[in-house]
Order: sequence, then structure tokens, then C-alpha cells
Amino acid sequence: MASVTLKNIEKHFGEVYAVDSLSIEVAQGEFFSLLGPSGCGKTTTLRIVAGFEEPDGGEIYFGEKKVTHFKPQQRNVGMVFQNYALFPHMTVGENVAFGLQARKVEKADMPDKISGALQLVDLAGYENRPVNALSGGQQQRVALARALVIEPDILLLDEPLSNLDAKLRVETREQIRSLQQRLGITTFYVTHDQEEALSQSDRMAVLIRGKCVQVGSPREVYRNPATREVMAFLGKANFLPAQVESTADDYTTVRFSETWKLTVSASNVAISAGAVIGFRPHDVLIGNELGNIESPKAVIQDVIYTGAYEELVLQHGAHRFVAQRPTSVQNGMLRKGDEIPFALPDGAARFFA
Amino acid sequence: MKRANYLQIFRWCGLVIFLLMIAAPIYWLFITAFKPEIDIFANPPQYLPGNITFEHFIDVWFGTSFPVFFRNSLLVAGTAGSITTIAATLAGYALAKFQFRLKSTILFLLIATQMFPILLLVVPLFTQLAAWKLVNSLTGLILVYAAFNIPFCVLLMRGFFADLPKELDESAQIDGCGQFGAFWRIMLPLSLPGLAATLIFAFISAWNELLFAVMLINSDSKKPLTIGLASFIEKYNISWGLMCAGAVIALIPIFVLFAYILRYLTAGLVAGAVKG
Repeated sequence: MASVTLKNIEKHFGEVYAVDSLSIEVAQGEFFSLLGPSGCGKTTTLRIVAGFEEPDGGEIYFGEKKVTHFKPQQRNVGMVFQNYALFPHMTVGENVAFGLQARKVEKADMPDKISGALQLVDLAGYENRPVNALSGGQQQRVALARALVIEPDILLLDEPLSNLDAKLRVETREQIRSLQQRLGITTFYVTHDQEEALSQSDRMAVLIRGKCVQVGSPREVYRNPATREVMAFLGKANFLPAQVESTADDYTTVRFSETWKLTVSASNVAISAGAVIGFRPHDVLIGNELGNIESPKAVIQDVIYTGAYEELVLQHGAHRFVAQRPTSVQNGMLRKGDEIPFALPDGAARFFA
Repeated sequence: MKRANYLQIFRWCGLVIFLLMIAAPIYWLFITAFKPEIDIFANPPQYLPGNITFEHFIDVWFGTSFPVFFRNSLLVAGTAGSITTIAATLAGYALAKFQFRLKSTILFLLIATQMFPILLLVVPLFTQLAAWKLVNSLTGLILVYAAFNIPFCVLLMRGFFADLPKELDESAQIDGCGQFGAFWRIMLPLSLPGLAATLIFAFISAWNELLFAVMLINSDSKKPLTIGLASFIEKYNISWGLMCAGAVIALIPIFVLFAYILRYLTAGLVAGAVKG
């Protein structure tokens, strides 16, 4: 087990910066996700950590050891690839044994280690099956067993769930998380799926265009996104233009319309400047969720039913935004064209200059 | 009848004509090899096998230098085929998996070599080999065949390696293999179909080659099969029986090679399922 430190990592392909002075510290035993849209440099970063790409600048440390120019086979990391990358001409057991053989583990110790690794991923007894005979989920678990059997210092996962169907994805996700907790292995997880990153990570970094925009716990990053892009990437968000009305200490009052104003945390803001306010659909309180009488009103433009939730497209003056509420039986029916009161609780909205 | 049926009949007729064009000479070769001398020249020709004899086979094997030719060809084609396959595999892997300077230039040159008419190269090649004292030697012939086949085979193998996902290579390295270990233990076994195809191609083209053999070899003890068979055509006499019997024997190694390698070729077709 080891911590991982990336210091000012740079990587460019021709003119394009894939990774732009990226610095990240991952603590020992931490589950750390790299999240970002495709092309943001997250896979390149992972490949640099694995040793497949040499950074053009910067340093990598595993614990105290500088590994920047180590070859992949010298780093003692385990890796699970998006397309599993199992060796198709070998059985499950041979696939798992491969890393042990390359590391010259005693022959007598191998069967125990192999069956132990397969047990971890609930595939005990599958040693002699050809890998092509397994389902996608099973193949991915073999890949996980192969990565873990070598007892790596660091586990790297490159979008390991993206080839699985929705139900299997959630199951495997939980399995990966609980395995990681049990083994306490430092884990780097690359994904473009915000739900995966939020649900599994101890901490996560959001990468956009090769730059690390924000690092923090899932709750921090979701609740207090550093930029508008981060907020938009991490789930649904509304962004409305507003006018700054007054500012005091760390709080700023902004106005959307005559009837709707809001206090957000933001300091050093110029009065009467324009601003963009971001908020999540599920934070909007509507109808009978409101105790307050002094609420602005909006007209329902559309109701989108998605099962557990329904989304309401609301129009307030020139502002159009989406609200979300659970479809519990107590909540009455809302129809297109209804006018309803709404509000945003304090602390729900983010101010972007 | 419907239009589609006519089309079907037309298609079948085309296929039958095509098949006859290919199969008829081979059929004729086989029945001539087994006909007594007198029947070979029968008029009208005997289209169906009548009396069967092995006299030509016995004559060609025990009464001529054919076994020497056969051995020479086996040696030349086997060595040239092996050299070609090994070189093409290593070069193909490098060109498929690594980034290095002049890579695209090398690829271009490999393709460019395929554009020269071979006749253009005969004289310079002869002079060069003469300078190295490799004229009239099997070593010279092996080098020439390997040199002519390697460029195409490199491109062939490069295609096979390029189709293998790079993650396989990488996961072998992550697991602790060096670059060569990953090649030897993972990439090579997975490219066996390509290897088999390359070996067959290189072997057959050396086995069948006549032009360079005629140019470079002049002593009887060094002649490969192709010249040997041609030598049955004399000024006033063509020994059809001997020639056909020799040709039938010459087909045997090819059949054996195919029979042996076929399983690797087909194994490749099912092993393609890398991703679930």
C-alpha cells in the first residue's frame, strides 16, 4: 500500500495539452476518483500513473519513492481496463496466475493465491473455465482478481463498469467499493459517470480540459462546485442570470425579478453587476413543500414523469428552469398550465460571477 | 420462372466455369501422372482414368535427379519461409505497437518495394550476388526469397498485431512482464493465425519461384523443383509422364503444410472474442 502524489504533471500530444500541470495527492488506502467528460485527460493521467505514458513534465511518487520514469512492470500496480483485457487464449486460472508467474512466485503457493483472489470476486471454482465462456460481469471480475492477486501497492481502474448493463453496473460498483474497503488498497478510479464517482469515492477530482478544477469529497464537490462547468457536469443544474442588489460580509443578495430575490454566499462582489446563479432541480421547493406565503410564482410548462421523480419545467417571468420532486402519493397532481409558488432554501444556490 | 431464379442459374453457371478452369488442369495433371506412357498420347485423348500405373513415380524418383531437386526446394522454401516469418513477425509487431521516428517512412518504403517489376531487379541482384559469391548457391536463393517476401509479410503481420487490443499488451506489462515477455507470452500466441498465414504465403512463394532460380542456379545439384520439372521439357521431347508425376509429388509438402497449419488458421477465427 502506498500514497500517490502527482506534482505538476504535464502531457501534451502535439499542440494539445492532455494534462496541464496537474497536482494531486492521494492518501494511503484512499478511494480516489478522476471524473470528467471524455477527452478531459483523465485516462491519460491514469496511464501516466500506470507508466504507459511518460509525462512531459512533473513528478510522480508512490509513497516516498519517485517512480516518474519507472516502467509499468516496475511499479507494482494492478489495473483493470475498460474492455477487461483478459488473455483470450488462457483459462480464468491462467489469467489470474499470469502476474504471479511474471513475478516468479513459488509454484506451490500459486493455487492458494489464485483461489483466494477468485474468492474475493465471488468466482471461486472458475479456475478452469475459458474466459470467453464467461459473461461480461464475470469477465470484469476476473480482471479485478487478476489485478488484486499480485498484491499491488495501487489499484487502477479505467472505466471498469462502462461495458456492463445498468443493473450489473450497480452491483459490480458496490462489490468494488466493499473490496477496496476490506483490503484498504489505494485506488485510482477513472470514470465519466458522476454517479459512480459520487457513490464510491472518498475523494474525487474533477478534470476539465486537462486541468484539475476541483478536488474534494463527493459531498463537497456536489454541494459547492468550484465552477459552473463542474456544477453542470455533476448532475442536472439550472443556471439563471441575476442582478446583484446588495452585498454584506460573505453574503450577497441577488434579484431575478420583482418578486424573486435570493441570498447566496459570495464576497467581494460589485453592486449591480450581472451574475449567474446555479441551483439543482431537487433543491427547488414547490407547492405544499412551502410553508412561506411570500413566495414567487411560476407557471408549469411541462411535467416529465420518470418514475420515482417528476420534473417540472417552470416559467417565472423570463426565467425558465427545472424543478424536481418525488412522486410520493401525498404529493398531489400538478398539471401543465398550473401556477404554483416556489422557493429556493438558503445555501442551495451557487453564485458564479 | 422468376427473374431471381434465372439470376441464380446464371451465377451457378459462372461458378462452374470458374471451377472447371481451375480444377481441369489439376485433374489432367493427376490422371496423366497415373497413365501408362502409351495412353498419354492416345488419340482421341482419354479423359477418364483407364489403366493406372505408378511407373512414372518410380522413374522420376529413382531414375532422375528429382529427389535432389525436391530436397533443395524443401531446404530453400523451408529456410526462406522461416526467416521471412520471424523477421516479419518482429518487424510487424514493432510497426504496429511502437511509435518511433521514420516509422511512416519505413511503412512507405515497404509498400514502395511492392511496386517494382521484378524483372527490373534481376540484373542488379545478379551482379550483387556474384560479388558476394552467392550465385549458384542455395544460400543466395534463400536470401533472395526472404528479401522479396519480407516486405509484404511485414505488412501482413502488422495488420494482425494492430488488430489485437493494446490493453492486452499493457495488462501483461502491468502484471510484471517486460516488453518482450508481453510479446512472447501474449501477443505471439494470439497472432498464431497470422503467423500461420504468413508462413504458408512465404513457403509457397519460395516453393513456386522459377525466375530467380533459373537466373541464379546452374549446377544440377543445386536446382530446386521448379527448374527440375522444367528440365523434363527437352528440345525434341517432353516427358509428360515424369513431369506430371514430379508435379504431383511437388504438391505433397504444400498439402501437408496446409493440413498442419489449418487448425491455427481456424483457431484464430474463434479466438477473436477479446471483449465481452
